Amino acid sequence: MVMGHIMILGVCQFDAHRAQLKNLASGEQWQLPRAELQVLKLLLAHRGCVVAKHKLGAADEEHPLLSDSSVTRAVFMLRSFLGTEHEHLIETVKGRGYRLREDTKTFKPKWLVMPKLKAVLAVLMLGFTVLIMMVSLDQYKGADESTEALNSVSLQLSSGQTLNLMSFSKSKTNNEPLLVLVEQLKAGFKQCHSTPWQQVYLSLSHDKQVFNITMKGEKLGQSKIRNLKLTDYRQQKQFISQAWLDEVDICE
Amino acid sequence: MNRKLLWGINTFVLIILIVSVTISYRHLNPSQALMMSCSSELFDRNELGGSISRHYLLVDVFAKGKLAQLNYRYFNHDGSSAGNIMMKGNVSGVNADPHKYSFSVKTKEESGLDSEVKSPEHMRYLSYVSSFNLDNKGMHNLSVEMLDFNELHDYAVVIFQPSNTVCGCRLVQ
Repeated sequence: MVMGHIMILGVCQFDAHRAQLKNLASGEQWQLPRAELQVLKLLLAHRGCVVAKHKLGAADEEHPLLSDSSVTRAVFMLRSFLGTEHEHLIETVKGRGYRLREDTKTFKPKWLVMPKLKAVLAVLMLGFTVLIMMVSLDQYKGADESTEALNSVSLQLSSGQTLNLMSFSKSKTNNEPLLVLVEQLKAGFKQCHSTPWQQVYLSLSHDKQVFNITMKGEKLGQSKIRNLKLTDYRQQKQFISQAWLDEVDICE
Repeated sequence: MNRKLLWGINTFVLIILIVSVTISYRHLNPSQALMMSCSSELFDRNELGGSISRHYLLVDVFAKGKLAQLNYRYFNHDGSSAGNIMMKGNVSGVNADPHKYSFSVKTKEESGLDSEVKSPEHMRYLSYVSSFNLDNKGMHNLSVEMLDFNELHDYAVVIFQPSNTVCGCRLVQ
């Protein structure tokens, strides 16, 4: 990856102007000596091609010729700095020289290699976002209100036993028919001397056609439940009558 | 960057991801199971003179993982079958507070509605409402909220919505 005078080589960033190689992972910097700088510049200029040893060590206007061993040492030093993960970028082509691989896989985008910390922070933020979403979801679910009784009345029977009648409705309005039924049932229970029932749950279906009665109590240490569902589709409804109360024997 | 610090951060991120995935999985795949059986006495007021016909209803509610099944079995007063409605679908939500299960019924099977003897009103009504929702929306949504339950004594008083039906049930362990 080349960006003007800045080049990325494996995990390192090469600044040609400053003659500096920087390991982006560790932050380690290396001011390149002449031999390493010359070898690296030439290899980069001929990336993907084999460059002969004598060419890598050629003299220029300011510097004398580099010996083969100097070139070999420079390559060794460069490979060492690139690290074991990326040293293969500089290949030895036996009998011919060296080649800088054009392995695009090794050229990670700058945002990925450079600020590794940023990448880590991004993942952290993602994790926290997911957690916050989960917490929000929980809060949303928690906000689901529990159904409260519309009306709760207590009734004391002649035996001294207390019976609790609770009515439930989705709507807060138009509950007159349900409250009338509660009173009718309350009057029915009043006739009982005692009953195994302690709690009575009542509801009228949303279309006001079905009256539901659930009675809960205890007998011989065991919980006891009885459900009665009255359906009346007639215009003039009469869910509860004395005959029906006698028939179902709500006192038991 | 210090290698140990990097490892530390990576481990921390990994733990957060594992926790997030676990929480997500639990939300998407509720593991709580529900099995209860609710028996009711049905009384239908008839047009003529307001006489009452009696039936019995047994509702079995089963929910485990994502699967939900509701089986409504109707019986005549003499104990013979008056019809069945079996609904199958998904658990669309489980809530801890209030203790509530939401179901989305996708399919249903009915039997006994075509018989010459008049079916219980409750069954006809349930059949009508569920068919209406399945035909129009492709699903029939309902919820069961615990108003009072005691696992030790194996009972639960629940309210079905949107029908606003209270019902006492036996919890099946």
